[in-house]
Amino acid sequence: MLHTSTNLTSAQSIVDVLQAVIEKSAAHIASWATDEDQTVAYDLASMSSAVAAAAELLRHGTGEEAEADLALVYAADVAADLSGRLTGREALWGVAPTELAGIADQVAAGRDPALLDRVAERVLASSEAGPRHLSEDLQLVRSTFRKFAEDRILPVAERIHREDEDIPAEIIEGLAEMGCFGLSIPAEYGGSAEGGADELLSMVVVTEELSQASLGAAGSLITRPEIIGTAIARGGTEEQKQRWLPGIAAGEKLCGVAVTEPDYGSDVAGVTTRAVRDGDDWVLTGVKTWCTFAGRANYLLVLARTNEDRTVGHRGLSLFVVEKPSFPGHEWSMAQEGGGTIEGRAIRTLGYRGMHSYEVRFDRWRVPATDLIGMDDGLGRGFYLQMQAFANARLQTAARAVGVMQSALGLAVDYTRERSVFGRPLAGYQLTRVKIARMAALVAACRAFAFSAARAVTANGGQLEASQVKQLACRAAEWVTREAQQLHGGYGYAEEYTVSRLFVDARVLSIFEGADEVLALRVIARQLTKA
Amino acid sequence: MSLRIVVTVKYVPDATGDRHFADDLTVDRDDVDGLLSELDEYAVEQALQISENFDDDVEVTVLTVGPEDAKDALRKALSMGADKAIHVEDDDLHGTDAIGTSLVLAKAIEKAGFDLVVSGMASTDGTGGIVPALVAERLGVPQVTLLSEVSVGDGVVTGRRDGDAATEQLEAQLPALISVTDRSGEARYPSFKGIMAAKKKPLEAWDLSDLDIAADEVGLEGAWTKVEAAAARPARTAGTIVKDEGDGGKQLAAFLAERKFI
Repeated sequence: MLHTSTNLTSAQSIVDVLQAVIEKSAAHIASWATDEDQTVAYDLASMSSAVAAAAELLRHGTGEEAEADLALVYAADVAADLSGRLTGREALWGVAPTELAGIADQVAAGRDPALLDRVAERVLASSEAGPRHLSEDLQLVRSTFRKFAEDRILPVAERIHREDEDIPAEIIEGLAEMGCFGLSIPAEYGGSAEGGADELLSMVVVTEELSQASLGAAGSLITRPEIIGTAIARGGTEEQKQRWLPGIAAGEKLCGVAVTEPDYGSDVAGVTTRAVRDGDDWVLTGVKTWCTFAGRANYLLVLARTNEDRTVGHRGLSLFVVEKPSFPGHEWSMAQEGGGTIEGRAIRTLGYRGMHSYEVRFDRWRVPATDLIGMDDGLGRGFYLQMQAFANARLQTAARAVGVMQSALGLAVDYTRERSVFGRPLAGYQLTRVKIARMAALVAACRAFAFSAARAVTANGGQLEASQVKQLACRAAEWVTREAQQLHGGYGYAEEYTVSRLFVDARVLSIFEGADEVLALRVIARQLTKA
Repeated sequence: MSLRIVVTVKYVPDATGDRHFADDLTVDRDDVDGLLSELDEYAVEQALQISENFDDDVEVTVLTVGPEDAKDALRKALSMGADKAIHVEDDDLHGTDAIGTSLVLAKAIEKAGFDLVVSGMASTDGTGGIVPALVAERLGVPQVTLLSEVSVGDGVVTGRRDGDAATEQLEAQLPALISVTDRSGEARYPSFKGIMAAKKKPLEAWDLSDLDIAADEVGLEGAWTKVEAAAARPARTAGTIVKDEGDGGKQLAAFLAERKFI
């Protein structure tokens, strides 16, 4: 017999023990160099993300039966995962082999197929992983963007993906009119951010709805204005804010980011693109890569070395806003009087299509000194500013992952209810139901964690949580889309079925906006061991 | 000259939900999610466009008669850009038919004050389409219905009605009532700012006593029409599958001819 209050208590007991293990191990490995001893550091960071999500899922619910069930299923899954990673490495983690023995009964209850069946029953009936507990305003925000996504994005999402087309102007214009590009830009500069506690949460909710329809053609449109807007708002002069932010907020000026280089990705402090001062201009030369949306962008955020002394490392970097015309298609180029050029060429990718990711080559491109973010005060602050800007982008990326997962879950529910195998619907089989329940628990946990991290970041904290939820949700999206695809059988491998797009799109999530391993080792593990 | 526009809107059960009748044969509004009738979104859109194109001040008021949840429809209209909202709610309104609804709307419109009433062509649940005409009659103002293009100026409302046989250009002196079709122009999506601003806009709640309407003039008791019976539509049959073995076209033609389609 399964009792709700017991399930809630069991989930709490599991989370308490898991949190204790994480803390203990973090203290144990604090003295290590996590760059060298990466195996345990990576696992610890990953598990810390999952445990934090389990705690948030517990906090998120109202204690009703459905939510207690979900919380217990997820907590038990995390405990099983941790147990697997600990086995044989307890000494390296600095914990005893019996550390999880005290919660064996609770974990057993959470992994009981009967409980998973009950969770699956609800998910199969609603296609939802659980309630969101949004305010009335945010419910209206959600339904509005959901309607837009269903009307305007879904009908063209497959075509854009399969034909590697540009995002139609109607989608961008529609989202611009709805204020999508100014969600985090202060109201005084034309955006809608007024300092409310739910500000970033709104962005998360909008992102999830758009990403459900398409990661490449909609959900990711917000990321770049989010990054550039934050960099300008934090580091720009008043004149620059007035000049750039209203156009970005209104969606009149589209944005791209040119930070990564062919030889410097996550280790961005090593970038070699250089800017040399010449009179009232800076002259940019170098190659950037993975510059998503750089073709359509009117503003390109470029990180370049303004200090020739390479020994100063990241303190020699500055950020520029390079203004350019918007180009459709996969290749474009532009030239200045005096010989400066910029050339862009889209890199063919497995998924995440629509915005196109370009390699961008700058050759003696002259940028007015007034376009260096912060002008003279911004010299050498480029790395610092872009790191701050990327923190919001991580949160946004977690929301993108949740959108993709929710979409996959919905498709899996629809398909397994309709498809019969050996005389009965797939959804009637225990294995299907267990998969559906675990997928739902993971979606619910990632969503709850994204919501709480959004509130924490809005309140000027939450940097660790933003990284954790990014790391967790992006990996989770791979698994959830994989399971959804698997449940579709052969059809899941056909391009004709949306789930195949979700699977290839999900793959990019752990690679961009802070690669999974780098985020785990250099951000999460470091912060855990610092504490 | 300022302009006061009242837009009548209805909160209807979501057509994608499991819609059904309650035991008293009224539409069950409790067990299914509702929303602003899509056909009324066109009315809100036209009112907002008139407002944006008008030279002087315009106040757009959205008005609904319905249960507590009907506020959602008003909130949606406010987030699209309407200035204020009026919600007429009263337990005695349960089961009110089109004639009773027109009485309540007309009284509320008179109380609110108006130069122009804008309605949708019909609701998406009842689809009767008679309420706009009934309201105009009760208000004693001209009615110009089923417009697909509208403009207002110099104390008149003008518009185009696309019929099967002809396209009519129509004009009426204000105050007047118009209804607009689903071809009048796509309704805008609420903007993020609009949604956040909506909660700060005035939303008045009136009941029957505010409108001097007696309980027996409305509700199931006061209804001039009565639903005698309601049965779920039978499930669709499997249909006929024509296998093409070289004579598919002929079989198809024979099928259509048999049913007198050709």
